[in-house]
Amino acid sequence: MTTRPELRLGGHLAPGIIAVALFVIMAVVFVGAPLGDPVGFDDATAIQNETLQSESPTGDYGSVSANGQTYAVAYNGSEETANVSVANDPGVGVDFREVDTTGDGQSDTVYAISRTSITENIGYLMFAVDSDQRSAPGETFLVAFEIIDLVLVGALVGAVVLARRDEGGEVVAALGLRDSDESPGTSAGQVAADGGTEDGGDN
Amino acid sequence: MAGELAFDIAPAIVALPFASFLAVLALGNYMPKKGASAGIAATAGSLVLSLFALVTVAGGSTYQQDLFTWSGAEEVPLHFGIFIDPLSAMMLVIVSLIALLVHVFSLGYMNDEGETGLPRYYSELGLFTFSMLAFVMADNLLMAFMFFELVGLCSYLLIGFWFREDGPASAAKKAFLVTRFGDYFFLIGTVGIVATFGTSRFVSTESHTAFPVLAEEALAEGGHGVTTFLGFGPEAWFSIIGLLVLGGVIGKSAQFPLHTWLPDAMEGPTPVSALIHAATMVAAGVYLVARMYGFYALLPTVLAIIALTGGFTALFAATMGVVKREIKQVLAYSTISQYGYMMLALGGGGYVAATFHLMTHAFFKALLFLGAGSVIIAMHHNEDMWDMGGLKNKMPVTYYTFLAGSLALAGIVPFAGFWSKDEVLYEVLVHGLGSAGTTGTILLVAYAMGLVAVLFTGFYTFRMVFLTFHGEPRTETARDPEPVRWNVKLPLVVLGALATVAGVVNMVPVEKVLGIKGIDYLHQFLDPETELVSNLTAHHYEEVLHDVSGYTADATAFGSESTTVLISAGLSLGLALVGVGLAYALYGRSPTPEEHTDKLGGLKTLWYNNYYQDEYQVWLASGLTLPLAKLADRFDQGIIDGAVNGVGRTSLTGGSYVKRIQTGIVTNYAALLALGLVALLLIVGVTGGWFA
Amino acid sequence: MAVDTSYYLILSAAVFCTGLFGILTRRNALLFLMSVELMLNAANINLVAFSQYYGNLTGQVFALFTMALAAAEVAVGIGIILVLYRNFEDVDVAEAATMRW
Repeated sequence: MTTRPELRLGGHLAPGIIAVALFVIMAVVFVGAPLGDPVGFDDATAIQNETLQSESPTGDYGSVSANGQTYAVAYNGSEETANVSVANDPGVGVDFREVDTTGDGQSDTVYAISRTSITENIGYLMFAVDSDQRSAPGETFLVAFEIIDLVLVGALVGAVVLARRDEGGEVVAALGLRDSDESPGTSAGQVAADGGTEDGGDN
Repeated sequence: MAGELAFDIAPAIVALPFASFLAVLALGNYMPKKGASAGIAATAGSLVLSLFALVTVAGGSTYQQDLFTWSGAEEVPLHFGIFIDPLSAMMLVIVSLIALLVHVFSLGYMNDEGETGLPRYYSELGLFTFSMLAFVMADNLLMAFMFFELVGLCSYLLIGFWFREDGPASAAKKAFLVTRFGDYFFLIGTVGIVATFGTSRFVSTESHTAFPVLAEEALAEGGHGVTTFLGFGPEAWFSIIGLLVLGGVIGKSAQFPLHTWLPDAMEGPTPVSALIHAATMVAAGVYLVARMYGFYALLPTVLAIIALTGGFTALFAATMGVVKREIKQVLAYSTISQYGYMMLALGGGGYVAATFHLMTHAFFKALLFLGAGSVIIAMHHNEDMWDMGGLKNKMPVTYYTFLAGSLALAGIVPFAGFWSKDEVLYEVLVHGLGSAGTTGTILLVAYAMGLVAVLFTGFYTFRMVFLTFHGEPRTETARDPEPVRWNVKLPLVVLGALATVAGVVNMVPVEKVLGIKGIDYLHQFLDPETELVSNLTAHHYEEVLHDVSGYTADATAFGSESTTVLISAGLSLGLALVGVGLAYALYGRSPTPEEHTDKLGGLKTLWYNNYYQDEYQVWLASGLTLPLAKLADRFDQGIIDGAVNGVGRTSLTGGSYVKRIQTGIVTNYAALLALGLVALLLIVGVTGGWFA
Repeated sequence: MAVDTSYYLILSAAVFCTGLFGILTRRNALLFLMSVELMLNAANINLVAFSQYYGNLTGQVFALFTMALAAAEVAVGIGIILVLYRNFEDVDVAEAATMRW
């Protein structure tokens, strides 16, 4: 017969009221907080049917406005996609392609302005590299990363140390040492952690 | 002055015993005779150098040299320095001579008897000699105080030499504590002198003035140039300081009422007793008064107290000596009594007499103690005189030297003690007769006590001699005493000779009666005519005593001067002879003397129990001081500690309740934290208008 | 189009209070650890939400670090629970009160 979890009610839940109260207070505060609209990250904003505001005489490049900024765009004819970095705003690239958006079998012109993706940005920030590729503001974290690295190693060692046992004058650890807990004979030839056998007297 | 060879090497007098102390302490077990040889060599060296210094001083030189200023170079310099004048040169010779003889005697008393711990014994003897020599040489009071204390420490160590037994250990403790009691006053007095005069030098140098001179000037000019305290005038303040220093003297020189340690100190080895009584510990007190006599001579009140204390102690101790059974006990009380004479002489204006008696006493008392030591060896360490008797024929050397010492102690002409004791009494008498008013009366009272004490001295001395050496042997041991060797006899012979003839250095009565000029050698010696010590001479003291303290010597009260001398000498000699005769009648005539002390009845009990001095002092300690101390302790424990403990207990109690918040269960902590957060949010939110 | 920041915050508060509720009402050390993780991640939600609110990536990077630290914390926490179990034969946090005073 299977058992299923049951909700255990009772007096021991009384302190939980504090948590509930805390939640209520916080919720009230948050709801009433005058936060306004988030700035957000304008990530790969697609602008459809934008027309080039200006074009070079050869049709190689032009400029387009989006999100209150003017970007220089380059393209190569009407078939090819070209990725051209634009000065003035690091991490911003323009994807230029032609897509049939209206379903009439004709390609409409679509300009998609892309930035370096958020994840990519996080990577750059974390390792403090490629500052010209970042598109969103933020601090670099190389030193913190290294410190966390050490902390994790420390935690690993700490966990291993904590997991050691001292039994019968012998240290039993998660790594390396054999377990002397078992009494001889219960499981003959039991394989210890190091691969040898227990009670190596006559093996 | 400086540049004399004897003075240039004077520090070696002190350094030799100290070197011996260090060497024996470190290597005593590997040394020949367990360190005795080193001690003998060192003290012999000191003796030779001291004699050299004495001869040089006799030639009219004195020497003062600062050795080391250890504090306060600008304001109040405190320094070590050596000062050799006739007084200290004489004392150096006495100390080193007695120390040498005691070392030799110890070969017989300690080494031959197979004692253990001999390196300790000889190193302590070395330190003892060193301390006393340095004390004698000190050129300022503070240095003297330091070595005074060191002397006290050494006597503590030596009295308690057999510390595994109860008696010596407790006697040593008693000696230390009682003398320390006096030394407290001495210390305060020393500080007082330094604070008052800005110096504690005994002797004026080119750049510094000695404090007795400053005191003299201050008194002459009405307190100019010194700092007095507590609103006293200069004379009253000087008297207070003088009395404070005198406290140390009374403790060390075993004067009433701090004499109680000395008889108990007989628990120490007999050679040590000889050293303590003759040359070092006990002599230190009297020597100190003589050293700064220029200061005391200015203070008639203090002098009167000294004279009275001395006279009273002389008589008081002599009476107790009459009934004692142990040979060393008799000698102990005689020591107290004899030092009483010296104090009497100092208080009575007889500076030379006191010094003279200090010297002769050193010889004959060392002799008597060493003689007693010899007897004790012979009697297998039984000290009861009633177990002796008839030792005269068995140990003739001891007998005759002891007899010489006894005659000197009793003051029989022509032995050394006669001359010095007679001069003491004569000086007190003439000053008593000549001085006007209270001073004269006090001196005459003190003189009377000293005179009566002569009778007792004669009696107890010869009671001791008769009981020990005459009559029939009263025990088996006395019939067959253990023989003593040369190392016991040699010191006895040397001292016996000195006790017999030492009086010739100062035969003032002969000079005065027969009119032979110039045989008062000691007077001349102590009255040098050098610039350095012009205020440390006998005639200077006499002038100061006369001018400032109103002491006047009147030698013609009984007609001519020679009549007075004869009357004084005749009185003391006559009384001494009466005492001796009485002793002979009671103990010497019959070959089997009986105990007559019981006839004294209640007086015997009183004397035998030392006037219940110990009892009352113990009562003072346990009946008076102890309750006071307990009261103070209760105050300390109850109020001061109580406040402190109360604060602690309150915190502890409070903590024991508050700590229950710390249940050790994480949930509770978390609940409290969360509750706090909720409360904080509510408060901040309500006041900040978050919920509006 | 973007979700209002206060909803993120309310979500975060809900997660946090769930964790707190767990800590306040349970005595099992393992559940404690889980609850602590919940609270930690509530903080992460906040970090990310405000990162988006301010258009600054620092909060997001920081959330990553928080996760790494949470991993470390769990490693040590599990170790402690292991020792706790070894010493008290139980993972009840109320048992380990022998060193309080």
